[in-house]
Amino acid sequence: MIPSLLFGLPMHASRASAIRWFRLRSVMNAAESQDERAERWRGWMAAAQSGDGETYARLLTELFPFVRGLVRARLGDDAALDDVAQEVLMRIHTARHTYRSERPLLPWVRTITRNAVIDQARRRTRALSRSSSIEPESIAVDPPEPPGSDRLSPTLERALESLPNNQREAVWLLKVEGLSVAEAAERIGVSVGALKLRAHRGYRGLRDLLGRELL
Amino acid sequence: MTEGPTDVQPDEARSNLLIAELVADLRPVRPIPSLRTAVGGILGVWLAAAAVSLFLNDFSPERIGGFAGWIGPGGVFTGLGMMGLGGVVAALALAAPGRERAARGGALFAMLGLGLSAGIGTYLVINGQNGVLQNGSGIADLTCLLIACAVAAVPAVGVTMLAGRAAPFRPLVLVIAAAAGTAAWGAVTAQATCPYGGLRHLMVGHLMAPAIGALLLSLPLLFVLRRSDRA
Repeated sequence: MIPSLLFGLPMHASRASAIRWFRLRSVMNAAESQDERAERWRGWMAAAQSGDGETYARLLTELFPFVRGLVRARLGDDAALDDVAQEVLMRIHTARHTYRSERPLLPWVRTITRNAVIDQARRRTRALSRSSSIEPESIAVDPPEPPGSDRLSPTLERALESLPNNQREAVWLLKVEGLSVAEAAERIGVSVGALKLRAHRGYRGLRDLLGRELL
Repeated sequence: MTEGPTDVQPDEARSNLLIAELVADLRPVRPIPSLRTAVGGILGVWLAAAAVSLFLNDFSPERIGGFAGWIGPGGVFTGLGMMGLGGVVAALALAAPGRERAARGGALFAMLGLGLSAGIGTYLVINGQNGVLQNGSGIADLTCLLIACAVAAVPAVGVTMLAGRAAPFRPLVLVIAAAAGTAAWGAVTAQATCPYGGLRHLMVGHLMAPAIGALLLSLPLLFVLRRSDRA
């Protein structure tokens, strides 16, 4: 009787009907919580559009695992999973003025995610077709020069080497080889947004490292 | 089965850094107008351009009255109007995420318009009703096509600028839809002052306008779109 009162179970319910009742309740609770979450995010996005940074941070923090799940459902456990999910956040940021608060937020987020995944697939296909079109004879036999071999100062070389691989690669392609952001992104098969982000972090890392050494 | 060993964990530090950067970059924004408002605005721009065109081409209401009694011009007129509305809705819907249903609906509506016009044309040809009204010369066909494209240019630029201020994902499809849709509306305008109502002229000089408009206007519109892209 007490469990019946606690969980709203009908009195004198059989074991089978009790199980059905709990399943129904759990489905209803899940649906309610999804609706509540979607409604909460909708309100937060409207606040973000008016410049509320604190709410925006909460929204992006809650959205990221959701977006990552959407990307994962399409890409699987791909190496680019986090890059694409982060690119989706960047796209949400740049396209936030296209959201209208009277509309549900999740279809808008899903579309942005789907578009980012499609772009990723296109980039990958282009990169694959380009790499497969390169003749073996045209590939240089010399090993690539390490970053900063003879053109960079030893201090900068050390700082560059201490960066994570992906950041070093982004900085190297943009600042040493002089590629455009789009070319560099295509070269390593990541999104432009992800490359910008890596380069930005690389510059920040270099600034921190060089500043410390100079002190 | 247990969870695979290749399970990739999110790079929390990187994502947190990105979120911090995005929050630091946050500025208040004004949401884009609703689809209905945007379509209404473009409709207004087209009507204004059409009014100027009708004024310059000595429009007389009797001409419309003369056509209305015959199924050919009436059907093409209606079909072009549907194509115009569908194309403009599709183009504006393609400019923002979450409007895919509207984009598909617009494309479908435009296809229905094309089907209506083409169906009526085919029906009339099959039933030997090809010569009810005059066809005019090839110059007349060309004149109507040029009027359609000229009238289309203004609302097409409007659609493209509105789209550029949003977040277009498929720019080429968007400008083709905008060009074809507004050219269809341009053809409606041309038809209002056109002295010829023969089936061949309707098919070549009016119904071809969306295709010709897409060919002529898409590239300039793509340029406008890239210039007005706020991203």
